[in-house]
Amino acid sequence: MNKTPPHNRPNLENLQVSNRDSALVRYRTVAVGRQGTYTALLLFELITTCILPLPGGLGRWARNLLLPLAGVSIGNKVRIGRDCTVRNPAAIQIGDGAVIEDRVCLDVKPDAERLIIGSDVFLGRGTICNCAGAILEIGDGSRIAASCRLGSKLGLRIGRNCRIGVEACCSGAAHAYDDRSIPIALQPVTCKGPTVIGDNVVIGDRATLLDGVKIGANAHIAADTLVISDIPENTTVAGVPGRIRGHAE
Amino acid sequence: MTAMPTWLYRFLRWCPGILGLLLRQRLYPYLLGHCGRGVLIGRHVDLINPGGISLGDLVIVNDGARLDAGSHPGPDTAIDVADGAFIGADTLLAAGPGRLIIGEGSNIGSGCTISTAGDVVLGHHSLLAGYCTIGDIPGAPAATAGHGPQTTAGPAGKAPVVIGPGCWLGLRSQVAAGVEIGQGAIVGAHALVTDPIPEFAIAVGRPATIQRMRP
Repeated sequence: MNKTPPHNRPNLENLQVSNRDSALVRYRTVAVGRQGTYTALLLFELITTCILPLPGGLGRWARNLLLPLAGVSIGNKVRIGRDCTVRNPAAIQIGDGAVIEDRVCLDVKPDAERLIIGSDVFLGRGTICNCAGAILEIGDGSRIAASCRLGSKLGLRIGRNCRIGVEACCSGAAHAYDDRSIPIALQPVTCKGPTVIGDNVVIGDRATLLDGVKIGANAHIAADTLVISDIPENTTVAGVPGRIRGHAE
Repeated sequence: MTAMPTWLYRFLRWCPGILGLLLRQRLYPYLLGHCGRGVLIGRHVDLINPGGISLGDLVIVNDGARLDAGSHPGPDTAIDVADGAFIGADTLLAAGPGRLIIGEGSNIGSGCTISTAGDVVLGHHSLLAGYCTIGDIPGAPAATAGHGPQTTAGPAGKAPVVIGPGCWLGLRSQVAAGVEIGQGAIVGAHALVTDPIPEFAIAVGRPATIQRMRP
């Protein structure tokens, strides 16, 4: 291959380089980012161990009080459930009135910029926001159901007032497969571009969006649909691969 | 049965943060059939019949995964995860009467389900994207177990699922019981695989058909 893809997966060489750091340094990078200090790591550990698993109203109150100390910017009347996973808290921003249910994972990788959750957003149980690169932004008033996987190597933007169903998935990355002699798992990760979901989009249960698709405002995507290309505004899409089946009013 | 008291297992399963990771790394080897060094196991990982589970060196098991060794009689372990494999969040690995062997450096995404009555063998560096299903698929055409004369029947008389080395199964792809996928093949997202796929083929659709060959 003559051109280097935009984002490289840790292949063998990279892994050997990163393995030169001690385990603690690698853990610190994952937990509090590249600029994180050991003080920040200690605070992060205390909050992760003592505050995030706390049940009930006490836990919710303690999380709202103490997560800003770790660098999360939290608006008013935010409700965060128990057993959430938070990584690199300084890069997370949560708007007013957002509800984050139990066991949600807010994972901002060291290479990524920010994870922005708008106001009145609902994140269902077990959803993973995997901000692997650039910015992951969820617009105001969007509701995301349980067990979704959201993420992209080159940024993901979900518009305002979207509805996303159970186990929906924005893949946001693919693999190169040019070389037969190397297993695909060790070939570089590719990404066609940022995923953009317009305002008022409805995405059904178990629908999948591949990397780099753009979905116009007011589009409807049926359950079990695989979206591989851009979807214009006000359309209804269904099937594998997704085809336009109608126009919404 | 294992020597570990239930309360200790429950505490380890729950214990958050770096403390939990360290404690699980140190104490789970007493529970598991075999456990290599440098294993990282996340929170809320369910281990059922842990004596029948073998993890190699540097295996990572993410939060909420479930490893079910069933009632495999032994003496070999029912779930055998080789060195450097990664098992994603909320993934279910269930070995029925057969064995489940995951090759070196494999990457199993989150929310996958691997569960069959026969054996399942994943070659080295196989890559499963999120929500893949291998095994008995509800609502799919019934997988005819052991229909081919060349397939060797597993312990329960079911044909094994064999995923070749370096395969890539796309998001939410489904592989029926008894299917063999050749080395380096690619299965597209949402594909339903009911027939064998040759080496280096790219198969998409429901049911999956071969679209082209890899370059």
